[in-house]
Amino acid sequence: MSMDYRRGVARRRLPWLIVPPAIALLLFFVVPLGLVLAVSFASKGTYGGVQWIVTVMNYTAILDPLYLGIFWRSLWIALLTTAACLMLGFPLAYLIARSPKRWQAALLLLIIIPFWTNFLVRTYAWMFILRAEGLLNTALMTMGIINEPLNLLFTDTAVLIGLVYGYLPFMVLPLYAALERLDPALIEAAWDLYANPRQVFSRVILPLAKPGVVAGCLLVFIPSLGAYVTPDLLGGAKSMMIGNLIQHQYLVVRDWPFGSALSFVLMAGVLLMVFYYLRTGAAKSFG
Amino acid sequence: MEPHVSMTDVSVEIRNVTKRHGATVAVDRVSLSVRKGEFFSLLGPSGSGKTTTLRLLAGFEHPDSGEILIEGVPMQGVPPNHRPVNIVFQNYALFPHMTVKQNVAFGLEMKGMTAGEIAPRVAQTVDMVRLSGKLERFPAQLSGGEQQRVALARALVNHPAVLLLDEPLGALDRQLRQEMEVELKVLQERVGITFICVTHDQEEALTMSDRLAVLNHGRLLQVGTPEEIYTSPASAFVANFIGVSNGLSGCVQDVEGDTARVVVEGIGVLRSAVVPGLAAGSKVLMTIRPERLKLSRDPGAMDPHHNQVVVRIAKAIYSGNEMQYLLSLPNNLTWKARIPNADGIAKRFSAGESAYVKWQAAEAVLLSQ
Repeated sequence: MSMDYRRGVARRRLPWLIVPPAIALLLFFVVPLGLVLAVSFASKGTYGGVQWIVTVMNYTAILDPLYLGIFWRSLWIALLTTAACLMLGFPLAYLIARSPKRWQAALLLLIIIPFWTNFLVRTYAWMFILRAEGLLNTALMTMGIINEPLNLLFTDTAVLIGLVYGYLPFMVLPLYAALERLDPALIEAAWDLYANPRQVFSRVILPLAKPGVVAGCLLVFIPSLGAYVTPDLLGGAKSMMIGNLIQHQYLVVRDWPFGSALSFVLMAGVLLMVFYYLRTGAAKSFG
Repeated sequence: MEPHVSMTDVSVEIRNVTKRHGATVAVDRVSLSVRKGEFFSLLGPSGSGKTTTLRLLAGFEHPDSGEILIEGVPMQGVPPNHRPVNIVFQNYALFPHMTVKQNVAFGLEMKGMTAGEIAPRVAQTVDMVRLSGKLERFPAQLSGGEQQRVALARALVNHPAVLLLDEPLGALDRQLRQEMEVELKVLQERVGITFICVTHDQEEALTMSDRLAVLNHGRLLQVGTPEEIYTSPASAFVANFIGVSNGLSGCVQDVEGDTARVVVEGIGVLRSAVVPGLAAGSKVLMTIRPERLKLSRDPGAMDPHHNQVVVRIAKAIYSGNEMQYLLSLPNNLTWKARIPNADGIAKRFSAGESAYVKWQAAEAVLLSQ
C-alpha cells in the first residue's frame, strides 16, 4: 500500500520537475535551432545580413566540389582521429582499469588534469612544439635523427595530432568505465579454455568493452567532425574543416544563410552516421 | 605413510612446491600426489594456500620453487591454454555475452574443432548436466544452480585430464549445496575424470572426496580418506577444523597395553587409546568428537574402557534431529555434546542440570603437544 502511495506521489511530481529543463531546452536549443533552420532557407543580403526570400540555393551550393572536398576531408580526419584515439586509448584504459585500486584514482586524475588548462592555450602550446624551430624538430635534430626540420605545423598531420591530443580523454574515460567492470576471472576463464592472448582479447575483452568503445568513438568522432579551434590554429589554409568553413561564412564572408545550411547539413550528417553506426556497425562488428 | 602408487596411476604430482606472495608464503613446501580418477579435495580456512595451489595447477601462477607434473608432464613454463586441465571458477565466470551453448562450445572452438564436431559434444555434455532446454539462454537468465551446471559443462566438454573446482558450491544456498555435493560426486564417478576441489567447508570435503588434504598457513597438515582424517586427525588443528572437537590438555601417566592413562588437571585420570611415540610424561591433547559423548543422570559402573566426568549443562539447544549441549567441565572448560533426539524426551537435559558425560577410551584421540 505505502509503496503504491509513494510511487503515485513520484509520478504526480515528476512533470513539475521537468518543467525548468524543458523551458531551458526550448529557449536555448529548440528556438535557436529553428532560427538557424529558417535562415538556411533565406537569402544573403547585399552587404551581409539576411533577406527573407525563400530559396534552396544555400543547399545546392554545398554540392560544389570545393565544399564537398572540405566535407570529405573533415570526415576523413574525424575518422582518423577516432581510430587513433581508440588505438591509444584502449591500452591506456585497460592499464588503468587493471592497476591496483589505490592507483586508479590518481591515474584517472592524470588523464583529466589537462582540462584544467584552457583548450586554446593548450593548442597554442602545440604550435610551439610543432613549428619548424619548435621543441620537436629541435629535439630530433639535436639527436641527429633528422637533418632538416620536418614540416609539421599547418598540415593535416598537425590537425590530427591536435585533435587526438584534445579528445583522447573522451575515449579513455568511457573505456575505463567499461573495462573496470570486467571481471578478471573471465579473462582467466577464456585463457583456461585454450584461448591464446589474441583470442582472449577479441572474444572476451573487446565484446565486453563494447559499450565503452561505442560511447568513446561517438564522443571523439562527433566533436572532431565539427572541430574549429584545432584546424584553425594548427591547420593551414589547405587544412580547412567544416567548422572553419562555417565560421568563415558567418564572420568573414557574412553569408549567414549559407553558414546555416552548412551547419544543418553537418548536423543531419552526424545524426545519420551515428544512427547507422548504432544500428549496424556497433552491433555487428563485435557480435 | 601413503601406500606406494605407481607412476601410471598418478594424475597430478606436486613436488615440494613453494609460492610466495610478497612477504607471505602462500604455499610452503607442499608435496602431494593425486591419483587418476580420484575426487581429491584441498581443505583449509582462507589463507591456507588451497586456492593458490589450484591456481598453480591451472597455470595462472608459477611456483617459486618445486615442480608440478600433470599426467607425468612437467608444467614448468606451460601457459594455461596449453594445460590439460579446466577450472570451474568460484563465481563461475561464465561469459555474460554468450548463450549457454556458446559458453559450453568455447573451449572446443578455441581448440580449433569444426562446428560439426562441436555440436554433438556440446549437446551431450549439456544433457549430462540436465540443461538441454536452456541452450539459448544467457547466464543472467539462469538461477545460481543452473549457472553452476553451465560452468561444469563448459569445463567437462573438453574432457580435461583434471578438473579443478574452486569452492564450487560456495555460492549456492544450503539445500542446493547438499544436493549438488551428491550430484558432483555421481558426475565425477560417471566421467572418470580426476577432480581437484578447493573448499573451506569440511562437510562438503568429507561428503564428496575420495581423499583430501588439509592445509593451513600454506602447509600441508594431513592427507587421507575422509574417514582417516575424521577419526585420526594428526594435529589439534585438523581435529578442530574437521568438525568440532572437544579437547583436554594433560600428561601421560603410564601406558598399559593399548590404553594410556592421562592426568588432566582439575579432572583426574582419563583413559585413551594409545598412539605410537607416547610414553609416560608426554604432554598430550586428548580430543573427542561431540557426537561420541553420552550423557546420563546416573553414574555407571567404572570400567577401564570408559571415561566419565561430572559436568553441569550450561546450555541446551534443540536443533531438530538432535540436542546440542554446552557442558561445563570441573576445570571450567566448555565442551559440546550432540545427542540424537531419537532417545526420547525423557532423556533430555535442561540448562543448570548436573550430568555424567561418558565416552569410550578408544574414541578419544591423543595428539602430542
